Amino acid sequence: MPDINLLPQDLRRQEEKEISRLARKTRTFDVELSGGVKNKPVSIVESKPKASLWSKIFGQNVKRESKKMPEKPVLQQSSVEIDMLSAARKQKINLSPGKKNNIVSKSAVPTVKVPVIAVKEPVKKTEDDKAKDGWSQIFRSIFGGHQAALPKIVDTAFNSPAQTPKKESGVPKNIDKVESKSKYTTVPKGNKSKFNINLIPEELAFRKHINRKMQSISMVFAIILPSLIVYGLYAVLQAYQNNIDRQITAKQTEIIRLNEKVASYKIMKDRNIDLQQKLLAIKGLHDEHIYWTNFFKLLEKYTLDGVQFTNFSADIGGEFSLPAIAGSYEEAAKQIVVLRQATDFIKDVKVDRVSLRNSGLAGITGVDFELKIKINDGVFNSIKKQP
Amino acid sequence: MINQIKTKKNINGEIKILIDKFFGFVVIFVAIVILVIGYFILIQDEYGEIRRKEKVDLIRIQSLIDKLAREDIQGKHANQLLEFTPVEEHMISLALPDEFDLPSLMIQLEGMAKKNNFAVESIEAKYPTVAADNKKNKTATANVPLKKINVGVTVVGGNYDNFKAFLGSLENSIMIFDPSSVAFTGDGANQKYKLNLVTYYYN
Repeated sequence: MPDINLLPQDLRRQEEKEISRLARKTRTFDVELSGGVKNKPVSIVESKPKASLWSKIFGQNVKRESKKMPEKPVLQQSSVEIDMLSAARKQKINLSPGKKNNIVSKSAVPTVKVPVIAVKEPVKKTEDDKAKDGWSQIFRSIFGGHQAALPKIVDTAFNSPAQTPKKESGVPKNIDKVESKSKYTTVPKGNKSKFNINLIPEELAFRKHINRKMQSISMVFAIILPSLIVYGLYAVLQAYQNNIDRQITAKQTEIIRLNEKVASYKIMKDRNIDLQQKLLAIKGLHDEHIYWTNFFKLLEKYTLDGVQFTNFSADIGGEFSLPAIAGSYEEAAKQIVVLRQATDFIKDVKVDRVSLRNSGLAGITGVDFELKIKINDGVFNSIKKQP
Repeated sequence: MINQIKTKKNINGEIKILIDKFFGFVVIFVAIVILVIGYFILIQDEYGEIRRKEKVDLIRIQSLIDKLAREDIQGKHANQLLEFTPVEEHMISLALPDEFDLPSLMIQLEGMAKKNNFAVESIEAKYPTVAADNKKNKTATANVPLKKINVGVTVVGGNYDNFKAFLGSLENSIMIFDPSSVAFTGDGANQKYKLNLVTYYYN
């Protein structure tokens, strides 16, 4: 059959784009067309209790229990009409990539003529339906879990086996065997209608919220995981700080060791410096050391043989009296002259008194005289310089 | 009443819906809050302490160690240069003792006198006295480590040559003796030799 497209050019482009977009998505699903209702539009979604705000915003878990499904049909359709539709309208469209417009049936989707299917009886609300619209449904919508608020996607018009068309054998088996994904299934397989059409957008129809248990687990993880991270970081920092503390302790130990070492060096240094100071002081004292032997040597050198010193009292001041005895005045005079000529020893010589020495029975034995001498500087200190 | 209950239920439901809707954000927010709180309670102080220890303590200690190490090396070399042998130290301490030791002095003088045929008749030590009203001199004396002690020694029994030898012994003694005055009286065996010596100690 030729593919006739009567759409305008611009709409045709849009259609091609849409088809190509859909072709990228790999999906295979059944499209089963049904007729409408005379009096009112066909309600594909089962009449259900008033949806709660919860279900309106977030949708519900796609869990359904077939036992709770109302068995009373809403739409009724004759088996003959269904036979007509089942053969002519059931199509399989595969939009997998690489198979653009891969339509199993010969008729294209845009050109399918939708037949009008008569409804035998208008939809009537039962007592159960009325109850669903009441308070119990409100409570159920809020607290009763998700089942009451689940969007019942598939109409239950043909859920009853007695109303299910029996002439489905004319439909190819491969079409029958095409199963919708289980998560999309809202009706048990046994009661599944061939008119399983869900016009709710995919994003809303199959939107799932994690349940309370998962929320609790997520929250616990949201608390425990950051806490563990923080604690782990804290533990790492603690370990690093302990490492630094150990380093500090080791360095402090090294400081103590070095301090002791330096202190011992300082003690030794102070002691050595003290010894050095002592040594310098000793050197100074030796430089100023008084050598009386030098004085006596010079005195002996410049003393004549006939002259004798009776008493001696001298100090390092350099001026002192020196009583002496000479054999005669001449000898005393010579001694004075010799001392005056001893420039390396005597600076000045004076004689205050000269007298004869009378020793009683022995008579005159000599001449007493007293020398007042002033010696040169350095006589007591320059012994080593002396010849 | 029914309306109030209904309103309350609706509010609760809306809260639940909001929680559900933003649950992911709530979880992330809670995690971030815990991380932030944990940081400020545990991490921040710990990290600051580590930084302080790293930047202040360790560097200060290391600089101190470096300084001590330098002092250690310098002290080691200085001591090697200034070091005295024990014998040298002993000689220095004999030449200039740390304190005036009269018994040691008596032993030394008696030994030298005997060596030169003298007998020590008397030894008299005159400690340096500081006038109580002369604080300046006291301070000056206290600050000078080299102290002087006047010691008077009288020896008898020897002759003039012995006396000269005795003087020579004093001059060549390790301990420093400076005779400030010499006097001898008498003649023959009764001659007495009196010396006023100045000796020193270092304190």
